[in-house]
Amino acid sequence: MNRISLIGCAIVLSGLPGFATSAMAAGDQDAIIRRLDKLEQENSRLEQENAALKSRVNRVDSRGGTATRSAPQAAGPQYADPAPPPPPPGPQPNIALKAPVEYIKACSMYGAGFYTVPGTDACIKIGGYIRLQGTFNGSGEGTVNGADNMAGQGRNNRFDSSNINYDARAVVSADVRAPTSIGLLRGYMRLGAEMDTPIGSSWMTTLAQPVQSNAPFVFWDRGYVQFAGFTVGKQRSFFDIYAASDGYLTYGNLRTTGDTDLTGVIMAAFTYNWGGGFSSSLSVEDPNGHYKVGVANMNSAAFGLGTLTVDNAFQSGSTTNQGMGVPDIIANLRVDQSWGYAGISGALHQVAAGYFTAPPGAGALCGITPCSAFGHPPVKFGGAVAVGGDVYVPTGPGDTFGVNAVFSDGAVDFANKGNRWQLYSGGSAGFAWGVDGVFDNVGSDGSIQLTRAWSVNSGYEHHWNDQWKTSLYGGFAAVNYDGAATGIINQHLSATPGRVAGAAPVCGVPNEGVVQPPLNMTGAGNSCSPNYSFWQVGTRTQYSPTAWLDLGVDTTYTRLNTAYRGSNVFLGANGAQPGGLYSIDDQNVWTVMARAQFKFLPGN
Amino acid sequence: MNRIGLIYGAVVLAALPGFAVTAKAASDQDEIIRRLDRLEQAHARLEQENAALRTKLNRVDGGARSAPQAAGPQYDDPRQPYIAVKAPVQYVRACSMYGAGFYTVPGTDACIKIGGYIRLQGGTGGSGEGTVNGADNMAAQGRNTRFDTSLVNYDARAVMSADVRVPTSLGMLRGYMRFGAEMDTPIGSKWMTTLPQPAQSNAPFLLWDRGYVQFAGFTVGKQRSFFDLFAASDGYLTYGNLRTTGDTDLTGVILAAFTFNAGNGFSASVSAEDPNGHYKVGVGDLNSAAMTPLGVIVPSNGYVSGALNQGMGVPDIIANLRVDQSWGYAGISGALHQVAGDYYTGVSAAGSGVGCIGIPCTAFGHPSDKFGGAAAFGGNVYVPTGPGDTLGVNLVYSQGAVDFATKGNTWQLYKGKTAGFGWGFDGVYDNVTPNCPVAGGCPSSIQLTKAWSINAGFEHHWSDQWKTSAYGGFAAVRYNQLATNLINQHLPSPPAGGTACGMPVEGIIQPPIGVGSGLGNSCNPSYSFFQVGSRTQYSPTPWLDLGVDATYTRLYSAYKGLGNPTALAVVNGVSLPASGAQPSGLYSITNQNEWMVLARAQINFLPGK
Repeated sequence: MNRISLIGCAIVLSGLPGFATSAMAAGDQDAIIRRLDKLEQENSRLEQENAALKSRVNRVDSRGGTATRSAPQAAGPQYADPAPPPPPPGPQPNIALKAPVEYIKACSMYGAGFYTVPGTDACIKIGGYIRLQGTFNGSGEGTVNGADNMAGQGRNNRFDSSNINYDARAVVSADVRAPTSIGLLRGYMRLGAEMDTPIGSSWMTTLAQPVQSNAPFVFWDRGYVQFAGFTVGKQRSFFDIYAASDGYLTYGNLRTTGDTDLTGVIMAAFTYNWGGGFSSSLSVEDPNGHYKVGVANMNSAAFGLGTLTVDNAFQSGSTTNQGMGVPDIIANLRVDQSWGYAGISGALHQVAAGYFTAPPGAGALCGITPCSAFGHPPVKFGGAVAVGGDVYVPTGPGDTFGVNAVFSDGAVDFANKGNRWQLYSGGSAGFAWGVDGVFDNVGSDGSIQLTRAWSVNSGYEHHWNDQWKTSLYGGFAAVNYDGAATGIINQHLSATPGRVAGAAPVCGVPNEGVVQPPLNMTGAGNSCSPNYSFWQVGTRTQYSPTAWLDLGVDTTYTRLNTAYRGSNVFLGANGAQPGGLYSIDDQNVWTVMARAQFKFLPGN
Repeated sequence: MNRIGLIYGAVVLAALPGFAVTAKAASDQDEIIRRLDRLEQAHARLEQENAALRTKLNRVDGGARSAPQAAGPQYDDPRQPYIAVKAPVQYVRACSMYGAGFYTVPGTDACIKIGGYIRLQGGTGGSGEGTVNGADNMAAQGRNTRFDTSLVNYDARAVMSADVRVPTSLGMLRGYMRFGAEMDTPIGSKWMTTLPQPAQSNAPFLLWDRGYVQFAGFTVGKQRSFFDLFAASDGYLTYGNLRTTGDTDLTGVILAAFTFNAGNGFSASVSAEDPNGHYKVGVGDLNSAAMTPLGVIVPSNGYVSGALNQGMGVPDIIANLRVDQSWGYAGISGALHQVAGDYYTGVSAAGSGVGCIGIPCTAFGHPSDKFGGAAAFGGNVYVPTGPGDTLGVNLVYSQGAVDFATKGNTWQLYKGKTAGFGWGFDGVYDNVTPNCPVAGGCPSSIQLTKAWSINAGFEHHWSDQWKTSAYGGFAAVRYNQLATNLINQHLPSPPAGGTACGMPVEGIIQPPIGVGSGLGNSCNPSYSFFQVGSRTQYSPTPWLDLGVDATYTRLYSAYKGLGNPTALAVVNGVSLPASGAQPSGLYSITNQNEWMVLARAQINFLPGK
């Protein structure tokens, strides 16, 4: 560009007869002439630029320093070099030559941050947030040590457990709304980059996470389209009603709730609006969308120390993929009004296993791997129901009180996320395993015994003023195996390490097949029950000096009421925890989280 | 703007009848000189006026912004239907006070800039993003065989950035993020993203190097370490990922910092940072496979820090003092860095702990935690060789914090029957040393490693469009005598029960280099290396960078020399096991050279930083 105009100048200059003459006459005039040339150009440019600046100043002055820009002279984005690129050679049908200058309009009817996409009716809002959270005794994103993917860190030693973990995120959202003949069409997405320690602690991203240190991974919790009552894409489950989650009341990822707010679920839903704030929704959802575990074949290595290996049909919930047999069917009824909201919901959830790993008799056909020749347990359907809500309370402006109760049968993950636990403390340890159901065709009839789980959660928040608020939250969850399921599990317990089938009965049940869970005991003095429960309570105080910034601290106390409580249980080596005799007992964890977050209109 | 002005200038010049006449009539230069004077004066006046107008415009615009319009983020309340309010038409305003690209977020005081870049870089002798063959995650490619080594690698990126600024009662609140998609070959060559990379070929992965918020002096999020002062990095002076510096510019570090501004460009910062944020390796338990096989380093860090995880015991504590002025900047910085091992894998006396056989186990105990640290001095100043020319230098000294001084923690370079190696730990330890012949010389405590580096870079701008840099650095990693003893007692030495480098052979064989008794070998795990290079870049517009970079790397190998692994008096070489396609056999361990050439094309659309 510059080069072209300089050449142009040179041509003009050389066309001046006098210039050529004097330049020839006095060679040292060249420098002066060049300087003159440069000054002429620069002064012209400055004159032009100053004129433009003056007109801009006048314009701005004329509106009296107010922001109401009613005239189209408001300048659009000014880039470093507003000159358009030179037209490419050849036909250029799309080049808008001599088009009138147009400006980008704000789209205030949808709220702050929306502007009109140029040349269309659509409005768009770009938002997002940047977060750093540090956690003591939990993962960066707030899962307590010992639970689920934090089971390894629940060993509580310097080989297996970090003192401090963090979660850092940079997240961008886009909210696009277009008026169409079928009403408002809306798309919303929220995605970004995340580093969450320890690696693998975040369920949503477990398998996607790199194993090498300091690698970021993709964070994606929302991406859906809404039109004519439909919601399609990734959104919080329509089963979920109320939970302390994602910075609302807590910075933690509570295990006492099965809420999918933190991750979203792939779904296709239709909502009918009855008016008056009442609505009903019917939703088809990814059955792996909740903290899916599934069903356990007790004749495989399903229950390990801190591990849980499921045996689902149709690749569902497996470690390699998450397809499904049939989707979850969710229905709900909600009322959203000025006092808050309340709702009830129900879910239908398929519980299906792969193949048996052995025939009831003997079958050399497939060794001990799952095999289509061995057959499989019949498919069952589990389900869950919930009631909950969140209402404003008169303790102060904006104060809220909410509660949520869930009962499930064969759908453990709708009630809680605490599907496995492993917590060591000196010579005692606590464990738990939660699956939708268990089965074993060796020594049992092979049908799936569904597990019952229920939970209740509640939260309250008081706003001290516009900038400070403090919450109280808590939840309790219980997972209960029935007598048949307990019998199936207990027949795999072992009295001695390295036991072979036919050894002495444990917990009154003859030994059978694979040893699991690997708790070696006689059963005397032991609860002999795989049932467990746990509760979490905490408080979060947040300071938001502006609406754009959140700074706060959250403390959570977790108590696990362990499965198989009792003393003198031999455990094998586990991470850096040596093998030996342990007392299986209830365990406690204190978790403390601190967060700083900058939010720029992230939306929802 | 310039183009229009220049054309306009040319037109004006041509249209000036007096100019031609005057020049023609007066061969005396006085008239021209007078004219020059007038123009100079006019120029000064116009420039002054220009500056004043800009100031005024900013002020008036700023006043407009503080008017009481909708303030703060207004979140979507799912309880409320979207109501279309009849509002007067408003336009999106530019936000020029923060520079090009910013516009005001409608209905708020905030300004946002969306930017980014698209890059393709290709080269030979290194990874796509510029790590030289042989170093760190490129150690395998350092074998220099057609089985292990690509001739050409590339790094392709599409990166977006967002810069958001909000005036608040706390002052300016700013958020900045930069992330995108990347394909970098060879897979796994990049530390930050080593295995985040999908195992499937041609799968892209996430690049994320910045994401931080700044308010009231605080900086929180992912940002370059406050320890780092000057480095040739990320397209500044070089396209390479130099190993002679521990700078974290290329990846960012999770940190929480506070900066006190003392005025006049002086500032002091204190920062708590992820100890894995530098090219973290950590400590080596020599009673585990810490330095074997060749080209590999496996740390045994406490608190799951480092290797397979990113939790920590305590964060690094960084402090710095900087001055940023019109001549450039300079600073000093210091770091405190925890060096913690996990559990011993055995006990010095015979027997293993109950339930622990050769694995780290709480029953064996652990070395006591130590603290390492690093200090740096550096800066970058404008030099009078031309407008925009700069000269920078950076010096780092560290103990127990190798990665603050260098990223070259693993080296493996083969050439013919010669090879060079390097292993860099923050420290090493070994509690199983029953045969140690050195009185008090084989402690079980962590022996901290010393490392230092110096880097410098100069760039000359030939014109607005062309520039050429010259850069170089030197880094050295030094084990003390006790650490050397600990490592050497693990060297292989046939026959069994023999000695290597004067140490009786003990436990796991590592590094697996058979030096025999050590005759003819330096018997020294210390190593050093330097890298020098030059990059020339052509930017036809500020939006586009095209350039070529060439780097020469020289490794001064650990355990340089020959050996007598066959127990013959004749010094005949060092016995190496097979490494990739390099066969086992006798090699001479010598210093090695590597040339790396990189070419890059990149569009920058206001990516910010």
